[in-house]
Amino acid sequence: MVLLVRYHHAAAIGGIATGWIGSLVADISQFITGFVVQRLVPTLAAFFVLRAVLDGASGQQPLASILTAMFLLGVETTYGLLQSYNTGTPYAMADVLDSLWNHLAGTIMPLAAVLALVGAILNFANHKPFMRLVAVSLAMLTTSAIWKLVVSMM
Amino acid sequence: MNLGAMSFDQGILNLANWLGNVIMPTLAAVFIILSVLQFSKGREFAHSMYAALASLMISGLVRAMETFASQAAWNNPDLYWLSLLALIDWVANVILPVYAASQVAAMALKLGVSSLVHPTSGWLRHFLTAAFCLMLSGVLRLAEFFVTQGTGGIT
Repeated sequence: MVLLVRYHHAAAIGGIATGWIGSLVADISQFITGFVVQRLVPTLAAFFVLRAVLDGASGQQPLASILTAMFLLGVETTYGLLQSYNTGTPYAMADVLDSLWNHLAGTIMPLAAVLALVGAILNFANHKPFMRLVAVSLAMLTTSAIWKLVVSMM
Repeated sequence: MNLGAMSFDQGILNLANWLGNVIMPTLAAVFIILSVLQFSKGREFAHSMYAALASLMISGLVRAMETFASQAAWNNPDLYWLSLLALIDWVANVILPVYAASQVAAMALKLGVSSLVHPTSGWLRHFLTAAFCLMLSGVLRLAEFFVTQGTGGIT
């Protein structure tokens, strides 16, 4: 009974008071932070940079591999960003997804529009269809409005 | 490696800046070289030439796209349509008149070489292209007029 009370108290403040479980959590946390994030993730990112070069050599688009490498290198900041979106309410998951959508539409998409415009110019130079990318670039700059358009159509 | 100082947003921002300010101006030189080589072989060289210009103007083109995408409030459902409309207006009212001037110059050059009066002969094609570039709104209104007249059906 005393143990149960201690466990509830510890759970309320976010920690685990039970000795062996607490040490297990600390070990897992150390493994994730020290090994996976600090050591394994940079190596994986380097692999994707190499893969981007090989993609380019085989005539494929290297952008996906480059973006994957960037996402891996930014995983710690992304984790902090997701934590800052956590409202701690019963609807926290929906709140996090909502904030992620805002971040995607307001920050990432305008930057992606520049990449689409660069792609349009390269396609134009190579006699490939380029108007599609110009339209996509405009769409990326107006993502929220397109969402509102779809909502107003319903 | 300090992963805490690296963010995905900053990475994409730097990638876009690097592409726009470093790589594209360098590629512009490549496109100019290609256009000279294509011109020397009598091939179509305009694409490479225009691509070189666009590569040097990438920042301006992004600002133009941002202007087209800012024709209404961010939550206006018509914003995408308005931005497309602004793009088309810009092409029709700014780019095409300049293209018309270049076509008039091409016509004058062709006229000095050949004087055949035929719709497919060089100078007349350039003249008609220049005229159509300057009459684009009028041609569109004319087509709309014909469609409007036809709504009543054949009587």
